[in-house]
Amino acid sequence: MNRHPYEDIPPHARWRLAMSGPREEVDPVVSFGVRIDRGTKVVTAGSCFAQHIARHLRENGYTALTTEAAHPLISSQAADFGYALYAARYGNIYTARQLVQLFNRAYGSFTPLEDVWHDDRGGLIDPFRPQVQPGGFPSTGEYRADREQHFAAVRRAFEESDVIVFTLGLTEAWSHAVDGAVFPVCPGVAGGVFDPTVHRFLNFTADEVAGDLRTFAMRLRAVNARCKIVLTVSPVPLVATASDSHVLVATTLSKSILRVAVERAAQEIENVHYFPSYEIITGSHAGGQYFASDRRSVTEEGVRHVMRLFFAHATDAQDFSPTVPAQTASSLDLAEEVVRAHCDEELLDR
Amino acid sequence: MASARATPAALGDRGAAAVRVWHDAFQPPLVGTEARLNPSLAQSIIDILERGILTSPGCVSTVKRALIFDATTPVFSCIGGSAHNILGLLENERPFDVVLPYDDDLPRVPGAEIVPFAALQNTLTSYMARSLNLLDLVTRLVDKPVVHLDAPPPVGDEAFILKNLEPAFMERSPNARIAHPVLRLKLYRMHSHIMRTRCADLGIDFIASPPDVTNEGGFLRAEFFGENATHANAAYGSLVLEQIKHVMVGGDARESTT
Repeated sequence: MNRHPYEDIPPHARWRLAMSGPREEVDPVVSFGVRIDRGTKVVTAGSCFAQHIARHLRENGYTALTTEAAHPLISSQAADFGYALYAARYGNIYTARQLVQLFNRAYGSFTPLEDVWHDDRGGLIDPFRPQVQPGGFPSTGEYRADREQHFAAVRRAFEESDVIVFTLGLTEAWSHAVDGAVFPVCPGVAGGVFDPTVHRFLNFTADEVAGDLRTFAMRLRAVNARCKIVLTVSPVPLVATASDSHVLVATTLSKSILRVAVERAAQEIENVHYFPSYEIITGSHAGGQYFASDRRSVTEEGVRHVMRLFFAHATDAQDFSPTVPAQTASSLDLAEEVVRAHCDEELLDR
Repeated sequence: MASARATPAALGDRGAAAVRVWHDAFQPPLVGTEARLNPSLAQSIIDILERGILTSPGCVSTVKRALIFDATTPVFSCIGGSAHNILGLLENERPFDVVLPYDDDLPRVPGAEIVPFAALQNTLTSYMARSLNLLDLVTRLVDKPVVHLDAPPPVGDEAFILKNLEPAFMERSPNARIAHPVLRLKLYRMHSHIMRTRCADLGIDFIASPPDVTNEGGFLRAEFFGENATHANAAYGSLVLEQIKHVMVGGDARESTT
């Protein structure tokens, strides 16, 4: 009888065994090199899907580090003003290039040429976090003071965190042709004026994304040598593409590039780890059931599956207590619970 | 506007300054005018507001009856005026600061975190909700001019405030410190801005605090300090009366603003 490498593979490596159970029992996490206890300071950043990680960590008694919290006097407006989503008020960070850029701006090594937008009513919009201030900043004085305060909070987040969870969302981005600054959303959508002679469409390659992740890890280690990095890929499809492709094809390309780049980063960079939330949501075991009726928004059930496995593999939690929306909520309500994540990208569809 | 013989009506829930206008400054009566008060009016309207039965025709007519004055008499509103003190007279456990878009040259409070102006204004507006609703109600119910009188400027002298702080503040926070004067000035100006804006929305005149009652820093001058930390005195009330008289003899309310 011939011997071959597949004879003794573990159950998780064999589709028939690993993928035949109910969808909620599928667990693609084989080993995960990060342990989080209740004292571990976790910083989250990334696309809108990343917001759920911080939310569930907090609600289960873990330390989602917050270095820029809403003042108690305005706590009821925290979400509207971009607080409580991430460690600091930096909004969604869709690309690895944006993450590097945030680091460089916070530490003063990069100041974009296009650093403020003006809306029709006189408000000042921060091009790099266009949705954190409803109506924009009302004065230059506040804009500058808030920016200074924000950057200090970003630096503290990078320097004090034990684990940074970064969820990559997109490869497509718009940048400034002169200095290469990348915007979270195309100029002209949430502020600013689109100028085809200045604003350049980018679609990052796997090499570029992996390179940006490497650059970020190196710079982070310079200020925080012990910090671990957890990478995930957002399962949320592109709301729109600026490429010539069908949005489904563009989504597949984008997510594939991100997945490859993240894998390379996890393989090649010390203390960088991958968590497969993308596979948990999009795998065929889910049969599309983890997407809402728009085939894009992830349902609360899907998020719970991701977070249950995250807690099981990364924490010392005995039980994961998911945040359950109101019991009277319909399935549509449950889906919308997720849609309510603050997404700049959604603006492309208005 | 009103004739010199007309009767001004003052209403509101403001403390010493308004009371001075009502009780002291109008007694003896203004030259050429007859002062009249209706001290229960504000409370009756507030009661109606709080019971939430404004839609009842009977209650509305009750309020209207309470507001029967000379048909040509302006109503001077001393409504509200304390919300900024409630928000920030005492130093917050997380000292904060704000940049006012209309006064962005005011200095920063050292070491305090910046709170978004728009968010803080929303909070202060919510603190002022009852006063704003009352002003709105009065404006809708009376068929005569309504003029709002702004609250007196803040006291800058921390020692005076500590010595004369109303018990209610200390009961709430016995160990609290007085907030930085620049913050208190900013909150006062934000309060005035909100009230001025609401007056404009309602189509009524807003009279700012009398000119020359503040020092170069924008704080109430010592000769106008009241009996406690948040109110002005009779001398201040006399200047407000001059503003009222100006309106009563037909002057433009806006001319008496600073």
